[in-house]
Order: sequence, then structure tokens, then C-alpha cells
Amino acid sequence: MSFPEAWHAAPRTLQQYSDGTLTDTASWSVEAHLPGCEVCRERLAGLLSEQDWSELDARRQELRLAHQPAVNAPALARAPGWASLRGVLGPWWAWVGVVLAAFAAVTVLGRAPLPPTSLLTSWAAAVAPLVPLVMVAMVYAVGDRDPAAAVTPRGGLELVLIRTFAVLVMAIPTVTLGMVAGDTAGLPWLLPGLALCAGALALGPSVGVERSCVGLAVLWMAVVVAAMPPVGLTSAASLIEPVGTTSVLWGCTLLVAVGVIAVQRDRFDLPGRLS
Amino acid sequence: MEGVRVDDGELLRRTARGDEAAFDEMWHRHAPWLLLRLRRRAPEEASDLVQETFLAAWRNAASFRGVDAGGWLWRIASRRLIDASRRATIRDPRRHPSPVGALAEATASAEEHALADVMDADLATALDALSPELRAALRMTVVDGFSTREAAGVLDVAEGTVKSRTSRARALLRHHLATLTDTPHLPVEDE
Amino acid sequence: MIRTIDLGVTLGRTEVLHDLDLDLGAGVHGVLGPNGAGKTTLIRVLATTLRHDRGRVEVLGRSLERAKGTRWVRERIGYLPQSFGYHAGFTAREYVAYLAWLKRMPAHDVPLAVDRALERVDLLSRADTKLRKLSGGMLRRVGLAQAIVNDPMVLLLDEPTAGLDPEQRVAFRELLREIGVDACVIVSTHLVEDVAHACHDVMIMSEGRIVLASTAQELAALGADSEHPGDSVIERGYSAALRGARPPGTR
Repeated sequence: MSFPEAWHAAPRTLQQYSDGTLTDTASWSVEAHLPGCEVCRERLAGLLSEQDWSELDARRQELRLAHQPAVNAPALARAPGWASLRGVLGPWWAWVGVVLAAFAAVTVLGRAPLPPTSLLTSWAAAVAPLVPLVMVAMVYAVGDRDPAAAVTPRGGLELVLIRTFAVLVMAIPTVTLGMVAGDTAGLPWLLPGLALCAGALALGPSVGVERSCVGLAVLWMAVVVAAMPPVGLTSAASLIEPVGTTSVLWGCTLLVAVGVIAVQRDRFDLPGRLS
Repeated sequence: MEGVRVDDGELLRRTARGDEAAFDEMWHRHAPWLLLRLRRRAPEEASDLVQETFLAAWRNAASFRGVDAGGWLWRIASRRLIDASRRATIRDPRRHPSPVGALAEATASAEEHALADVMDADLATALDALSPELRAALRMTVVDGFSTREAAGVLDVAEGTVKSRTSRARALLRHHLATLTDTPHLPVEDE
Repeated sequence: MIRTIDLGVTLGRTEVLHDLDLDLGAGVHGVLGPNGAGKTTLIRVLATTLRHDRGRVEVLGRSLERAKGTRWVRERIGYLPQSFGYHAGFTAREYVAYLAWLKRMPAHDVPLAVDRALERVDLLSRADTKLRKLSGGMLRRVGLAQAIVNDPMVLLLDEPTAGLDPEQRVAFRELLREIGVDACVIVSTHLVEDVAHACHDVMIMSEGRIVLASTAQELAALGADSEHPGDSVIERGYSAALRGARPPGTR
């Protein structure tokens, strides 16, 4: 449907509209047209009665603009703003702290000497997979705890996904850089790291994300202890630095965890037992 | 303002920086049509609403995006209209706002419609054939951009009533237009 | 707009709500009752923050069994919890905008909607003040602003007037009545005056059940010539109702 190029309301029509004598249906048409046509608006302003103009002038006088708050609120002009990100991810300094601590840990431990009979290549292998887990725990600890925010369309699964994405974006480069700096580049930490992270989220709806992070971290540390002398289990060591079959094992665990999250994604949005 | 005509978007940007002269120009351009349009929906509160609308516009000029300043202003005005309407309902629960406004209930002949040349004369005649209540429901949702719930609030009827009135209005329009022009011609958009 | 059938909730070993039947439409509905009566639990269930154990709950015609329905409902409700968390570093405006974003309001609508919400709770003058610098009453109003920013069809308020001075309470009630014109507002409170001045009808809860559902006037009538404790007629009516009295002709 095409409209004629420069359609304008006839002067007589505008006059009647201004007087209030125009029919209802014609007024519809004029009203739908005016917000978008400056020519007709100008004509209408010219046709407005004296009385109406003095009414408008009086109202303009009454507008005390000087006392109005916030003429300028550019921070909100585009949503979501910084505030929304901060609500979802927590304060920036927590992230800076965690990133620096993780980087330092991976670097320093990468260069740290191992006991002579150790089966591991580097301490960094023990720490690196914990980094995503620690970040997940952190973001849930410092992020929003507002019950009002939890009860929103975005406050459930979407929130989880945004946070997970942020964690991965921060964790992977940090650990990679730390390994480069600590001379341990090439250590296969990614699969265990991702699998632990996914596992924490998969268990999240059942026991709470922070608890599952702590639980999995403890489990992991137990495996690390098992790999170290005097225990020195080869199976534990191969879990920590997976190659070949254990890589596949970790890969499957990751897939299963992601599958569990996908299957129970609704639970992130449904009302919970505890409140 | 002298010289080159500044467009509304630029005026709002200047307003956002505190330029009261730019705000004045916006007032001169837009207050008249807002007053008249609001008066047809809330005769007593119209000038109050214009004032409130511009106050909100002053505060929120920085958030204006796009090109349709008139539409933006009407959105602000329509929200104020809803709030005022609800307040009026509390003050007087038995109040029934005039669905058309106090003015211009008269309908016109087909020739008068053709002369006025604002709308397809057949469509205008068909619209005239609707009752004021049906027209009002249609106008609120189609022209004013209210949701059925908001329209219900302004018209002071149940939301279901608004829904049934708009469907009925559309059905009647289609029927009327079909009989007038002898073709199954449907200029009224289905939603 | 809100219906429950045989609603039951068990927390731990206690049955906190029993066989609750509700059918509420537009208007301001008060929920009165002593501590432990289950008012907060009821509000939480309706706000979709707590899952119910027995019975059915329908908000705006949708049941809360599926996530999609729950998300749909959450876009259209407003919830002011008793103690709401907030980020001290946010300004009032930022907090309300954040909640508006979480509620999936279209981005271009948000600034105007936030402005309107803050104006309705009369906090525009403090809109850009950080939350940690606001008094308790102002924080409550920020919470209310967040709850109404999406012009919800259902508004759930848990003890909303706590911390407000008398003048603010009056303004608050006016706002609730305005919203109640076409939305379903449920206010849980232990302040009987809130009920008298703002609510179209009242539900009195005790020990997990609704013991009386009636209007403020009927409650006053109950208290008119009773000897139950209370400073005002309505308070006496409330005490009477808790002890089993019924106005003539109600269930």
C-alpha cells in the first residue's frame, strides 16, 4: 500500500479540528497524521485560537524547569547499561582480583619445583582447571542476591548463561597467559576445567551453584592429593593431565554435564523450594 | 528561531544539554496538537497533561532516539493520560468518560467526507456507521497505540469489553466496506 | 487474574499453607494476619519465587508448572519483597533500570518507564543518588518503583509500608488504589490502617488458612460493638475475626 507523496490536511480541515467541530472519523485521520508531519503541525499552530494560545502560554510559564532533576540521563539512554552488567556479574574489582590471582597462581605454580617422585609435569596442572570453577563461585557470591531480581524473565536461565559466558571469556585467556608466563604452555587443562565448570552448573539447580563449586573443588583437590607422593596414583595423575583415553573421558563428562544442563534448563526458571 | 529550520531531533539533543530555547521551540511546535488531541480524550485534564508531558520530555530528552519526535511525545502523553484516567476513576468510581470527547459527535454525509479529503470517503462513512463506543475502542488501540488493557483503563471498561468491541468494529467495517464498494476490499488491517 | 485451588505449601516439616482457595481480579486486596500466619509464604508463591506443594496456582491465566509460562508471567508482575537486596553502589535510577532490563522491557521504553516509575513514587529528586545514601523509607519506594516499572497486571507487596512515615504511607496508598483500577494488587500487611484506607477487600489469615474474606466496612461492622482488643473499630473487627467471629452473610 503506497501513500501519496506529500499529503497534507486541507486548511479548512485543520481549522475545524482546531475549533473542535471536525467529525470524529476525520479527526482520527488528522491525529494519525500530525505527529509525523511538521508542515501540518505548523499550519495547525497558526490556526490555534487566541484562547488556546494563552492557555498554553500560561502553562509554559508554570513549567519550572530549573528545579527539574536530571536534564541529562545518558547512562540510561541505552539499556542494559553498566548497572545491569554490574548487577549480573558483580563488581569489577572482584573480577580484577580473581583474574590477577588466577594469573599469578598459574604463573608462579608453573615455575614452582615439584617433589622428585611426582607424576605431574607441573603444579599449574592442578590449579588451572580450578580457575573457571572459582570464577563461577565468585560471580554467584558477589552477583545479585535480590529476590526481586530472581523473579524476572531474565533472572533465571538467561542469567546463568550470561554469567557462564563471562566466566569462560575471562578464565580461558587468563589461564592461557598464565601458562605462557609460567612456561607451561601446552598443558591440557581445558577439558577438565570446562567439565568441572559444567558439572557445577549441572548440579546447581539441585544443591545450589556455590555448594556444587565447593564440592567439586574439594573432589578435585582429593584427586590432586592422590596424584602426589606419597600416594602417587597414576590414574589420578592422568586425570589431572589427561592424554588419550582420559581426554576422551573428560570430553564425555563435559558432554554429559552440558546435556544435563540442557535437559533441566527449565529448572533455572521455575520457582524453587527454598526462597 | 531564525534562519535554517532545525529538526526536532536536533532540538531534543539541545534540550538534553539544557538549552531552554530549544525546549521552547519544541513547545511551540508540538504543544498545540497535543493539547487538541488530549482534549478530545480528557477535556478537563488536557492542559495539565500537556504540561506534564513536556516536563517529562525536558527530563528525558537525552533518551530520545530515532526520528519521530511527535510519536515519542505522544507516547509520553498517552502514559500520562492513563495515569490521569485511573486517578479520575478513584475519585469518582461511577464516572464514565465520554468515549468520544465532549466535542464533535456529528457525523457527515458522504460528500462532506469526500470534500474533507482526509480519508477514503467510503471508509469514513463506514466508520461513522459505528457506534461511538466501538469507534472509541478502535481509535484507542489503532490510532493512539494503547494496548487493550490500557484502553480499558482510559475508557473505564473491562479489558474483555475492549477486545470484543474492537473485533466487532473491524467486522462491521469490513462488512460495510464490502457492501459499499461491491468488492471484497479490505483496507482495514488485520492484526 | 489470580486463582489458587487447594493451595498447600510445606516448608521443612510444617504445613505453612493449607487448602487455600483464591479468586482475585482487579483491585487492591489486603492480606492481614499475625506473624507466622503464612502471609509472606502466600505472596512468595504468587510471585513465583517459591514452589507450592499441593493444589494449583494460576496467575493471569497461566499455571506455573512450566518455565515458559513462568517467564511469561514474570514479565507482567511486580514484586516487592519484605527485604529486598540491592547494590549499594547503584543509583535509584540505575537500580530500577536494571530491574526493567531483567523484566525484558524493550530497551527504548526503559528510560521513560524508569522516569515515570520514579515520579509515581515521588523519588525523582533522588533519582541519581546512590542507594546506600537513601533512608529506609526511600529505599522502600525505590523497591516499589522497581515493582511498577513494567506497569504490571499483578502487583505483590510484602509489608510495603514498613519504614514509611505517615505522610508517605498516605501517598503510597493512593498510588496503590490508582494501580488497582485495572491491576490486581495484593498487599500483605500487619498494619490494619493500610487495609482500611487502600483495600477493596481483605483476607485475614491465621495458621496457614484464610479465616475471613470480606471488605473493610464489614470488618469495621464486626468490630463495632465487640469487646475484642483494638484501638480502632477495624482493629477490633480484626481481632474478632481471628477468634472466629463472622459478619452476617459471609463465608
